[in-house]
Formats: sequence, C-alpha cells, structure tokens
Amino acid sequence: MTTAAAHAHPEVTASWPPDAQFGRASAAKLAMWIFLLSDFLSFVGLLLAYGILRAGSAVWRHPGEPGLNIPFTCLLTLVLIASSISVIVAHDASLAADRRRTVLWLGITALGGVLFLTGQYAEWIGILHPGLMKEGLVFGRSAYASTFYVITGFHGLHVTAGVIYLLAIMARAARGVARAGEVELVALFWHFVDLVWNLVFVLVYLVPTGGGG
Amino acid sequence: MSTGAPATIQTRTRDYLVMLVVMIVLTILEVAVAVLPGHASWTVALLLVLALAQAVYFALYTMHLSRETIALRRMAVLPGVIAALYALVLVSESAWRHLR
Repeated sequence: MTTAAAHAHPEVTASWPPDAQFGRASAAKLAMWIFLLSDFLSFVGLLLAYGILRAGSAVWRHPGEPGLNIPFTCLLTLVLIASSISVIVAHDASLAADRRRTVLWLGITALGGVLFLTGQYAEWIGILHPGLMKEGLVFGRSAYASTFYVITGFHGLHVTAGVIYLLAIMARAARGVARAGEVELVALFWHFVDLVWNLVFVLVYLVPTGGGG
Repeated sequence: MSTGAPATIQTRTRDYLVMLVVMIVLTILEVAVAVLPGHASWTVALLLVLALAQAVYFALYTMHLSRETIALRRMAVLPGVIAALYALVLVSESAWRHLR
C-alpha cells in the first residue's frame, strides 16, 4: 500500500504474504498471544503460591471462617462460559460485515462480564445477603482468606479490563470502523479470562477445604 | 510447512452449541466430583484432570488454537507445560516437607 493510499484510508491495515511459521496470523494477533502467555504466567505464579501454602498447611480453613458458595459461583462460571460463546458469534458477525449483529453480541458479552462482576461483588461484600467479608473471611487474617481475595480480585480486574475493552470495540463497531481482526483480538482476551476463571474455580472453590466452621 | 492458517477464523453456527455443551458438561462434572463423597486425594486428582481438560479444550477450540499453525500452537502451549511442571515440583515439595 502506498503512503498516499494509507492516508486516504487510515483503517486499511498493511498486509504481507503468509509467513512460513505463523501463516496469515497478523502481528497484532501474535502480540496478543504473547501478552496472554505472559499474563497466564502471572496467574500461574499466584496459583502456585496458593498451592504451596495450601499443601504446607495443617488446617486451611480455620474455625469461624465461612466456606465458599459453590452453587452460586457455578452459576457465575456458566455466565462466563455463555459470554465466551457470544463473543465468538460477535466475531463471526464482524467477518460477515454485519455491523448490527456485531454490536449486539459484543454488548451481550459485555453484559455477561458485568453480571459476573456483580456476582463477585455480592459474594465479597454482599447485596441481598451479607458477603464473605461480613461473615468472617477477612483479608490478612489467614492464608485462606488472603489467597482467595488476591486470586479472585486479580481475575476480577481482568474481567473489568475485558468489559472496558469489549465496550471500546463495540463503540468502534457501532461507528463502522472496527475491523474483524480487532473483534478477534478482544475475543481472544475474553476467552483467556474465561479459561483462567475455570482454573480458579476448580482450584480455589472446588478442591475440598476440610475442617472449618 | 503449513502456511494455511487464516488471518481470522470463522466458526460454524453448529460448533457454538457443541462448545457450549462441552464446557457446561465439564463444569457440571467438576462440581459433581467436588460435591459427591470420595477420598480427598482422588477428588483432587480428578479435579485437576478435569480442569486441565477444560483448559486444553478452551485453548484448542474456543480460542481456535487447533486451526493455527504448528509454530503458534507450540508457542502457546510450551510455557504452560513448563509452568505446570514447575508447579508440580514446588507443590509436591511443600506437601512432602509438611508430611515429613
């Protein structure tokens, strides 16, 4: 593409022949994968610290500390899974240059993220019922409490970032300037947030705590 | 060497439902394993296997890694494998010190 053409059509990206190693994956897509891998290792670090603390402690959940609400969190997990599918639908709509459907499904995905965050707020602080903080799960009082808040909080930050990212791409799609590649990148990030949550759900919520009161 | 991976990947409508069902089933299985009575060590082992299976399924099909080139697949998978081995060694060592 010439410089003049690039100025005339600022949304048109440069293209190059398929790469011997990475096919036609764009540089942005490779960059997103590298970012996701480094971010994944951050989660691995946290989950590793959690595993070491837990494997080395005689009592994980101390008397008086509340257990975690598995049925409620399972529902939140299903919401995230459904939102992972909706972002694929949004990506397909963007490939078909269907602006209305792209915006709609990106919006539905963002709504799933907001529902998840609301659920996490209800679990931590409480909306209709007292949350874990009021029930005696206090940050800093035990390794159980601290690792729970740090890991789920770090993931919650990712969901928040994902919702903002989804809304930003949705706004671009509504103006008709978002490319399918951009929707694919936000979809990759959102899938990653979902993938990590499934690991957190199993390791933090489902692995039996024993004891407690 | 394959250079056939497309810049963006389209999913067939039927595949959405398959993905949704597989992930819901895996999640329900995980919850069932955790809630139903059983030996704690087996429960933890089974939960880890299910979590790993779900993560691999997610990466391969939802994130479309199965349709990318081998180089991209290797790039995505190797750090995870190394991290998992590292985790296994450190957590086992911690558990061993505690049990001793």
